[in-house]
Amino acid sequence: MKSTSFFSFILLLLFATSAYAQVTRPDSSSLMSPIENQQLMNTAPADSQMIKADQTTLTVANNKSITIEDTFYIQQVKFGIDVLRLGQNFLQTQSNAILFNADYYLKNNTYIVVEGGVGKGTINYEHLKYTTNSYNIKLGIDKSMIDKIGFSDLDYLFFGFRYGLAVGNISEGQYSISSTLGTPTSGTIPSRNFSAHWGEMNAGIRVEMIKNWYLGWNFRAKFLLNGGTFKEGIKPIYIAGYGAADKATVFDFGIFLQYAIKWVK
Amino acid sequence: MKYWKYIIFLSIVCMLTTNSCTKTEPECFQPTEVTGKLAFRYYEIKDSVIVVDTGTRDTIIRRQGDTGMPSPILRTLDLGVNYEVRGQRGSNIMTMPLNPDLDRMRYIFKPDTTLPNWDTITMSYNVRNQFINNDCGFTFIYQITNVDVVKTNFDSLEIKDTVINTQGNAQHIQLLFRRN
Repeated sequence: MKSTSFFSFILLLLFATSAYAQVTRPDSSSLMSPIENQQLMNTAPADSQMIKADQTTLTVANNKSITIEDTFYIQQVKFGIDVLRLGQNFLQTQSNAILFNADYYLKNNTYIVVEGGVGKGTINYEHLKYTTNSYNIKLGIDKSMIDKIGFSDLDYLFFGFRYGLAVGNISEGQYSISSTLGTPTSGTIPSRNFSAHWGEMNAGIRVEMIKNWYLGWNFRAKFLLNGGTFKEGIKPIYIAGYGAADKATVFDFGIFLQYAIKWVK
Repeated sequence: MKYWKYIIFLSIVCMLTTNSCTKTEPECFQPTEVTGKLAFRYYEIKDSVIVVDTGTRDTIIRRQGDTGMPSPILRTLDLGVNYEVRGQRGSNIMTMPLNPDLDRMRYIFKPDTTLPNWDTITMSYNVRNQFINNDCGFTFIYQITNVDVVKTNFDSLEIKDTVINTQGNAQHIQLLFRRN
């Protein structure tokens, strides 16, 4: 039942965000901003024109046409947070995390992505108690798989890769062992630091819901590259940005809310 | 069209409540109490090779296999509270309880409760704890160092595996019964 509702949610969100991107124009694509208008007028003194979202050429003086994409393009940097992970923090008892991301739009539908965050894991059983704290950073590239339908259309469906690195600490732990014939035994596990690194494949969508505000989801497949270091002894409960350390492969889903700062170059 | 945004956010909230709940109690699906395994096997002499010149037996060919005991019984000794393990009729393996506070366990054993005499098995071992996983926690594992026997009902004993851990299908000590 849990897996059914999870896949239903993915299909609903995929449908909703994709349909919204196709049917409804983002607010900022219908008209150029005053700064964009001014820049264009400076290079087109004969006639000033309002550029439509799907317009690709601009007629300048002497009836010559220039291709908008080749001459101008919107630069954009977005900052966001994984709101799904934030919501899960209120419902999960063993792990809490906050994940931020930022991406910069290059030409040719390519984005440079930086992600980072903090995470904490807690085990509080009768026979075992310890906590894990960690920080992570990820670098990657996303590539949009769909073509832009206009000058200011920056909605995209993407596929990308990441490299992630996390460092953290496993706190001193307490354990107890029961035995039928012997007396119950308890002990402590010394605290230690750890590091982890992994590779990721990402796929998802970003849609500009209202002006400069993007909403979208990521589906992630993560592959731990140094899982052998966690084979013996207790493992980090939660590695920020990755997940449980006892899994060599983790599949993850996130929903990102982002704010974009745009300018025309 | 305006309501698309509200539908998306509401669906996110609904799915969060059904998909984000995690367990609060440990779910351990393997035994954490480690015990030794005493197995029973028969053997019979099928053939032998005799050196003609000296008339001595050079090679013995024998057949082995698992065998069940009519009503095996195993008891611990020298503990404040001693335990008894009774095997099912026809069973070819029994558990041997272990005490992590000691470095040696003594047992008495009979393959059939109707037999008059007991066999004595003394097993010496080293103990250490080992982490299983977060849900199961730690357990004790044992390394057999020596086994002594005083036997009347079986022919011989073999140590098959000196490490006693959470592997449930291992056989640590085999008692061999001769058929012919």
